[in-house]
Amino acid sequence: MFNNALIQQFRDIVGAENVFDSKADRICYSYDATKQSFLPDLVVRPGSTADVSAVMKLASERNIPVYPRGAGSGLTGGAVPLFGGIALDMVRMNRIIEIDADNLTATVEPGLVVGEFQKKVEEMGLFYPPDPASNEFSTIGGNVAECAGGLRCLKYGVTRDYVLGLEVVLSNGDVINLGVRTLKSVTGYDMVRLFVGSEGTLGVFTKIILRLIPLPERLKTCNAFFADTMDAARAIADIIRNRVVPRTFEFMDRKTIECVERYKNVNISEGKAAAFLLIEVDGIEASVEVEMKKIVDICTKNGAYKTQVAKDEKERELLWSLRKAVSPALYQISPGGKINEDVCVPRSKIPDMLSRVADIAARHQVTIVSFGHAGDGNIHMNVLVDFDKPEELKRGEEAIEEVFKATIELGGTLSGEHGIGNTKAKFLHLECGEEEIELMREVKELFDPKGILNPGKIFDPSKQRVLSSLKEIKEKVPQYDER
Amino acid sequence: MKDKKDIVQEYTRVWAEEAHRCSKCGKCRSFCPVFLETGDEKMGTRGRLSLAAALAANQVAPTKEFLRSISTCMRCLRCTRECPSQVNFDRLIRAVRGALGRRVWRYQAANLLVGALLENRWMMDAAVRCGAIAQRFLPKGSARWVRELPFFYRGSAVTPRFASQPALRTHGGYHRTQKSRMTVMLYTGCVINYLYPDIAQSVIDVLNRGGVDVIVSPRELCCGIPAISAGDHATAKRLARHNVHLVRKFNVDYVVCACSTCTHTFMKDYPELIGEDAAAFAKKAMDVSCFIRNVLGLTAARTDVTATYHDPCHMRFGMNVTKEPRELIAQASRFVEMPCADKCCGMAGAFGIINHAISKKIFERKAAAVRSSGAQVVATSCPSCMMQLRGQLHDRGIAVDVVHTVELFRRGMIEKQKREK
Repeated sequence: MFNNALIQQFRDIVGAENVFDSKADRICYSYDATKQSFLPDLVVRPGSTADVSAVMKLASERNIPVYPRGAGSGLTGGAVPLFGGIALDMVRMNRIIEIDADNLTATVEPGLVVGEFQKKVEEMGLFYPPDPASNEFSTIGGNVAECAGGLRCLKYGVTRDYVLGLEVVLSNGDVINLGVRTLKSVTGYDMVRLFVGSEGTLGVFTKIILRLIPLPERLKTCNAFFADTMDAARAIADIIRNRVVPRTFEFMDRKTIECVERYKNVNISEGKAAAFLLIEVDGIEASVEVEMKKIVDICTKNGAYKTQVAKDEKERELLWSLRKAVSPALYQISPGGKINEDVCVPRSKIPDMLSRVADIAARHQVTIVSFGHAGDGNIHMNVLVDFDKPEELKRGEEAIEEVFKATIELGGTLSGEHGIGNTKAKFLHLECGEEEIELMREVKELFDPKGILNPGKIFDPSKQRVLSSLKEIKEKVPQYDER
Repeated sequence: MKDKKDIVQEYTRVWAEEAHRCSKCGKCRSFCPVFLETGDEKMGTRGRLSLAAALAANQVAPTKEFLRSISTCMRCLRCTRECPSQVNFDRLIRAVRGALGRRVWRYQAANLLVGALLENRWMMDAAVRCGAIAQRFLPKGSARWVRELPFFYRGSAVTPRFASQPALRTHGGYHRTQKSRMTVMLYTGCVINYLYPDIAQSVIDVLNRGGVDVIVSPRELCCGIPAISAGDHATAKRLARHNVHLVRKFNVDYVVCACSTCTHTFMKDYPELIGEDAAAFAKKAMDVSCFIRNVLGLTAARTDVTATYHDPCHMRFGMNVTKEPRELIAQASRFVEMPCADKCCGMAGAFGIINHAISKKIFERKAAAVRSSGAQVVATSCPSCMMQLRGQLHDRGIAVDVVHTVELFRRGMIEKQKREK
């Protein structure tokens, strides 16, 4: 399919230096943070909306799958070129087009790194709250496509709450504009919401209009250690009941605390912590002081045996250092790998969820560490398994399936912020009914009748109707699977 | 020449230990200096690592694109320090280059030539002499810079004039002081030797003023970093053995070095290269700022200049030294911290010459930072960084002086003596 003439056509569109067809280059665009690896046939790096439109038009004419790609840091395989085709690297489209400080909006291109954008607006006294742990390297486009969440969700919401408008290139190359630049709007259907979290299956974003808010003046941080998870859960509920809404409400379970303390070689929890909370409030000076005092009182009243409040920036960093050490600590303790899931349950169900997880872990003889965002019930479950041991991996995957089922039973959702991608596609039916999935498929077909946009994601590829047309064109077996 | 099979065997072990640990999270995209400028995944840590893994698994051949990826790592060590999965990427890149060094003819030829130069002082002297003569015939304007020598048409320039006499020739020997408290050896390193002998002069002077006898041995050879970086481990090992034996002959407590790269090579690479033999030497090796600050505890008086500090990557990410040079500068001048002091300057030895365009782009951030700091002087602890800073700042018309930390400290010491009199 990819003969020189076709590659030349893509070169004519975006320039020869922005089309990669060598094996070495293609390998570099074959993976994401799931460690799966599927070779694309071509890497194309568009520089403008017109480029994207022309690329999509040509791809659509030739029935070539296209996989939009930001930093390739997704955790569910969103950017992985499952069936070959074009990896559409958006990294060149990384400009901030406009920051409107009067109306608190910003217009940006999708390849912009979130952290850079945040730094820029914060210099102007503005604030873009969605804060995934990958903010230093993940892109806005990827964040919008996966509806990234992060640490500040309880108070500020997730990415979808900050996307006002989108410029989207559809699979046939048409450019459409969705949404508005105003805070209010009821002009027709809310198409923006449909596209946020669509994981690149409906269209390619080329411009994103974001909502900003004023940057809070002050921050106040504390942590609290509990000997009983239930106490911590009660404290969380109590804090919110007392009308304090912290911006950050991070949680770590006993296993996570053990891992981190061993990694950092410290003993802050005095060896008896079953739950650790990191709480941060923001606002004006007077309010954060009062709120922090309330929080500390409530934690102590609910049985926290140790609380620490940061007096300055240095102490704040110290408190955060425990939470930030989680990822490296887990890698060190489980160098063979980990299955990282991000289920989300109603906040009050967190203790139930944790006890069920402990039970599942014991039954399947795997270690599961849980940490995450307690304020919104989003728990990161990491099953520590060695990917090189098939038997262990199998046990881990069985455990995960049970975790998913428990989540749904408790009224939760499979993914808080990572998306479905291809790794969770086969579990979609656990949460969504046949009819709902069918409806979603129809929506997908409406926008992408040929099924060339990010095929194999969200919907179970083995059941994907649209895909069969692709298969006719090219019988493609994944050739390069490292995991 | 080794065949495919051997290469696979040779570094599959390293790959298994290092590349396998990578979780492909992509964090290196936020700091790999080459990636930040090119935006090309294969020019970043994660891409290079994936390609190294693919080579080990025989899924890719060392093609042009492959070599471009592997050869554009500056070995700034930042990823090795900051990787959340603690992948020692530097070890991996050395192993890959080592495997390639025996397979790719371009590498073989380069290694043969460079190896000969590094191992034979007279050849190096002669080559530099030729270079110095050739410099005289360059037209004025660009004549002060020789970076272009093999690449005449590449635009701007960085490398300064070669010294008329190498430092080892002018400063070689025993520099005694009156009230001697100890004797150390000063390892000059090639850049200081051939380009900045003044730094050697300053270091000797500062140490002498601090009551330390200094030995400079004209028989020292290159620390071996060019060979290690090019994957020529055999040459690197011979150089390491030579230097270790040389130091053993002089019974000194410390080997002081004013080049952060050489110091890092002694401390971290030598033990890996030649094992036990280098352990004692690695312990003796010390950066000159750390030596002045932590061992001698010298003080200086504040001169009337505003100075800032640029962190050489090997100092910050290799040896985790950030405090001592800043303290020395703060004593001798009004110290201001510049933004992005930890960002790479883009020189990285031969990288800056071979990948001139990328190097220049990387420096853009540094130039903006220096400009915004308002400093009159930029001090740094690596002569290679100095080369880049001087050349690139000059090209951009930024009138800021670039000095070695010790040179600045020396001015402060002289100032202090003046005031005491």
